[in-house]
Amino acid sequence: MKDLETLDWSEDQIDALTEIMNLGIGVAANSLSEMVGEEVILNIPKIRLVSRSEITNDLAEQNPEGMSYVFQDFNGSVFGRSALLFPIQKSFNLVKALLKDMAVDDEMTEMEQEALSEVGNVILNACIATMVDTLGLEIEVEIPQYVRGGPVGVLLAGDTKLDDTQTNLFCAVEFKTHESGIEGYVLFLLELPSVKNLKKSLEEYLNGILGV
Amino acid sequence: MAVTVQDKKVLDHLSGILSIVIDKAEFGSIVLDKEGVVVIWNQKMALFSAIETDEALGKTLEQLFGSGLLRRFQNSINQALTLGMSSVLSHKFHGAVLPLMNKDDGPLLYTTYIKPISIEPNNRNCLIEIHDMTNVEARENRLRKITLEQQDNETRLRLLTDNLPAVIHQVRVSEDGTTEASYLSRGVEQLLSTDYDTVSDDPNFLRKKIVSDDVDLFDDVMTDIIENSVERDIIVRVTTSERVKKWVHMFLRGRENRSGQKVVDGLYLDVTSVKVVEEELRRLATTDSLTGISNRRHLMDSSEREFSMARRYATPLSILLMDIDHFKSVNDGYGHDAGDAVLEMFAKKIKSTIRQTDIFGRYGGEEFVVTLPHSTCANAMIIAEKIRKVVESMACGRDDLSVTVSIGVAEMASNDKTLDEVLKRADTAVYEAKNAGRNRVISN
Repeated sequence: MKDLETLDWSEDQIDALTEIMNLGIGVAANSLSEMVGEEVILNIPKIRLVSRSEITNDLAEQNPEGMSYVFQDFNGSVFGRSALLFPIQKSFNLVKALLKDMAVDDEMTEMEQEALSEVGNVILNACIATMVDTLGLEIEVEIPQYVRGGPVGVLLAGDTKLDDTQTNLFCAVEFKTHESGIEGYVLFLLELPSVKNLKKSLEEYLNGILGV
Repeated sequence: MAVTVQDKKVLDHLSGILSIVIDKAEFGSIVLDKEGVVVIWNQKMALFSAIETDEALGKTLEQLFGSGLLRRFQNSINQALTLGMSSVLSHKFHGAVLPLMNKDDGPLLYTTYIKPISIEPNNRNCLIEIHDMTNVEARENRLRKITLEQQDNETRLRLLTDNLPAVIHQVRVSEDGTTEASYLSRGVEQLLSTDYDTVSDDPNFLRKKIVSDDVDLFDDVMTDIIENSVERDIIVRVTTSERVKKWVHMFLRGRENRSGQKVVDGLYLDVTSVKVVEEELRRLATTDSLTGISNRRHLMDSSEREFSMARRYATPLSILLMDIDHFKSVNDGYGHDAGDAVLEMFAKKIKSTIRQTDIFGRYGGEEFVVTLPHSTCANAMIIAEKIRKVVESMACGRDDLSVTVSIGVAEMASNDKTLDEVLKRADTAVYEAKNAGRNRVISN
């Protein structure tokens, strides 16, 4: 298994990726504000490039009660899965806060699950779209799906398109909504060929800016 | 799609099937080309929008619905066409994205899915799906209403049970015998003079308060109702935290709940005041109010019981019938108060002379009876003589007053069928004692 360090990301590349995610989260905050009719503030994301086992262990440790996910798969020159993860109780709080519906209890209805899917959709789409737009990627993104609870491993093992035997790139973006203090993570799961393609696109983008 | 279809005929055939599938789909489908122009508008869409397929084809959504379309909807379509993004617009956030109707002409509740579809490179289309959620919404509203009603009912039940002068308690019993409190009403605070929070989570709080003599009874009943799913009620004594004892009437029922788990329902009533009244009533019903000893009925009941025992086990039994001599003249000469004082003193003296197991009571007027179990006539004579002497030397509250007693003694005979027969012989003996000059003991 190839270690992430050997992929040799430069600081510029990570900065560029952070900037892209930043822009995306900004767009997402605007869209969410528009949807719920009041200001939604999402904090500046922190980006980490981590291995699969690292993120699985981290998340499992921090969220022993399990997590809720909204995920969207994408295909094209870069393919993989994007996911928005919440500690399970926080996902209820988020739906409560956004729908202004205090009746939401610990069992979300189908309609509420769909509302949460849309929240995930807005945030994930904003990040992906910014990336696609900035880097000129050619991909197609599928409809979001909601998974309630369970260990993080379920998400990571769920798709055959993600080959377990190869190194994956997990780009974890942590964000916080301002008022309710709801924390979530945006995760990108990419296989080695896709990681290489993404890195190449970043290089080209940086060269373009710097005029190399 | 990695499949390449070279045969034009096959391709035509497939696209024909595809358009039929889309046309017949159970959700509304619109396909827009990269300019945003409608290229597919299926049957459901025609139904929802009241715009026929022929009319919709070749137009943009703005031309069909006006220019005030939701921004997120428009952005999602643009993102699908230009960047390949998929989106979901939920009813919860947006209500109706397009003005659509259900088959009853009511507003349609739906979720909108927007997806890119690439038929060939550089020719990306956008698929919009309209999924009817009316039934889902109605079902969820119903469920939520039921949940709210349940919460209401629970609140009402709480209010009711908390204000009852009784304690309602429910305990779940696991298969391994461990118990868990699932409900306790506030009445427990008054019953046990305790703080609700200190006992509400402890399924065995009551058992800990039951006095040690009653714990076995309680345990037996609990085992019975849990094992056999039956109802029983018991009265036990509990020690409250104030070191006060109370009587608690417990109605206990064992049953299985819907998930097959054993449950014990308990209703506890404080019956201390009832018990106190009961005790007082029993005392009143069995004692003679003047002398404090057994009244005639209680005397006879107890004596009958001893008579039966003596007959059954063939043990001796004797009776003393006592009549205070010249009692009428005491009443006449010194007044009824003096007479009453004599009776009281008499009862007190005799009580301290006889054994505790002997039965002593007022037979009526100035007549008294002592029933002596396990005593032959000879034994009884000794006791009678002792009594006679005690009475003779008894101080009656004033110097010029003294009384004597005539005593008839009779022993149960083997052919006696009733206590009355013994009493009759004792009565005859008293009569003889009187005739012989009083202040003496005579056996029949």
